[in-house]
Amino acid sequence: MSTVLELRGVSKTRGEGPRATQALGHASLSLSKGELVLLEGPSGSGKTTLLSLAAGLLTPDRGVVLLCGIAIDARDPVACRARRRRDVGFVFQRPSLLAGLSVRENVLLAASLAGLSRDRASAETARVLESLGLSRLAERRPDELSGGEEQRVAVARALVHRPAVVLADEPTGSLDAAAGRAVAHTLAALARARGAAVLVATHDDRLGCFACRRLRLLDGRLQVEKAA
Amino acid sequence: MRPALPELPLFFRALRPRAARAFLSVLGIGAAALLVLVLLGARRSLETGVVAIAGPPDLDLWIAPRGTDNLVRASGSLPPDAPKAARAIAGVARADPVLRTFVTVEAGGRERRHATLLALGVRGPDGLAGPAHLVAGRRPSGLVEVALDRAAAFRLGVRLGDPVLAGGRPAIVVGLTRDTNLLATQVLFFDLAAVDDLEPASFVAVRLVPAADASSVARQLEGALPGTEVFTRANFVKASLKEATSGFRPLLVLVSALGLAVATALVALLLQGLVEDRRPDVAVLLAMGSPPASLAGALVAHAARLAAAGSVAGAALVPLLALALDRLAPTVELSSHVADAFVVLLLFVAAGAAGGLVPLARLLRVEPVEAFRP
Repeated sequence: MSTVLELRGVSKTRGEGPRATQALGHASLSLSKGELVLLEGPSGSGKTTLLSLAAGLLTPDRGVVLLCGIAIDARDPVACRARRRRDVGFVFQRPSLLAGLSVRENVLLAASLAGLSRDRASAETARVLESLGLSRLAERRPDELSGGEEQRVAVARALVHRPAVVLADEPTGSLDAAAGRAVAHTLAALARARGAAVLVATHDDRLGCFACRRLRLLDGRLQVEKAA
Repeated sequence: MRPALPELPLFFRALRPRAARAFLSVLGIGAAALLVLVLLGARRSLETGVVAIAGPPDLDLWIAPRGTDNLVRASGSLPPDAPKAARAIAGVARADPVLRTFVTVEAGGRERRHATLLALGVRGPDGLAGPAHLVAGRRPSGLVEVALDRAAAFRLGVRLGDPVLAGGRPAIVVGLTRDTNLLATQVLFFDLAAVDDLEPASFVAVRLVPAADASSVARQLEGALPGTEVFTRANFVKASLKEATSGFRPLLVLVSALGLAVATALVALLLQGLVEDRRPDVAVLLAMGSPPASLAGALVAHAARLAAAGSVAGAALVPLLALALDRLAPTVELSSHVADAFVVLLLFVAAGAAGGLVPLARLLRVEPVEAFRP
């Protein structure tokens, strides 16, 4: 399988001077197309830093991040944004849907940002909402949705433009067991259907059954991978 | 090729403020715009009045005492034979004396009302420089008749046919005029027939024969009437407008500046709160790859739209306010004009856009990485 995301010896220090702490130390990982990988670890272990580096939102102090084989560098924000629009989907902790937009518009925005034509963006939006059984909620506002529905819409938004990689940060963190399972299932199934690699930062052990691999971060250091 | 900002309307929606707050802000901006438009409308009305009394279409030249170039504030008088001397000049078809003074008018029964009006005495019911626009009645003829501006009639509580005391002399109101309201005072017309050429006039109004050269006749008049200056109607109107509106301009500028400052502050306040409220949304948009310039453009455009909505609302109220004032307090006349509304719209849109700069600075400090940890 082809590698779509690769971190090679990436380090990141947060803060300056005596308060500087190493948020991530010499981390290396790779994700292949269609793969779902869990990134586990306690709070403050560096999961969010790793996701931010992978998305090009932060610049590593050392090492390199390759997205679809091409280095991504936050010091070139224009190119970085273009890569994110096209190649990356995000599932943030809820609430992350834009409050002023309907469900359909939230998803459509990601498709438009990715550069899809108006017609294609509309068609892809309709298709992804249909495939997740969310069409009936299309004109609702985020504050009219349950937590689980909201995160399923976030999954649709992350995958509508068929990105190479989805970066998900605690996607089930604030959901009850049933809703969390439904969201995880949705994310895994849709990513597989659309050929995206998924890196999920989570505390939630229940996601293990959906993962191909599980990585563990401790004090900014990636531990040896264990099979899911 | 990537389409040009197809997401911009969605940014507008994403950054849409809460309806009640937006409505109140638009209302505040509308009130500020209305204030400016009311002042502009009042000035327009004043200008209309000045043009109507200093530039009636039935005359071509004004002869004035040297040093006087307007009808609003005149001093001195012309020799009693000035009208007759003017009539003797070739090219002059008619020359009528005009007496300009202030007169206190009293009216009413038990509750006496009085008003000091700018009185223009003209020669007979068809004399030059008489009332150009009558809304009721006719021009005054003879010693005991006067025509009043309708706002003055409102102040005095008189109607057509009512008796008044004008300068202590009994008179009857035989005409009501419009476009003769100078805000601070109004105009009263009376007949000069009784005094005619024997009394010194403030001005002489001159009508030329067709095809006469106005500047040539003016030079001849100045030569024949030492101590006088002759003005074309246009120049006399221009000087009268300058005199009448000179005190108005600083007030207009000050109130406009304050109104624009209020609009700027309201927009800044609304959108600053909006950016603070929607900071997580902004971070999400930035993380998803939205160009900051697009978000900034949407924010500033939003600011301008709020200001435009407010100023349009204010402009829409001007005709209604003018109508209400016309019914309830005609002493305050408003002449609404599309050009004024357009200028105010542009100024307020610019002020709104300027108001968007403060929250814009806040928006541009939002880091996309905040999307991961709100």
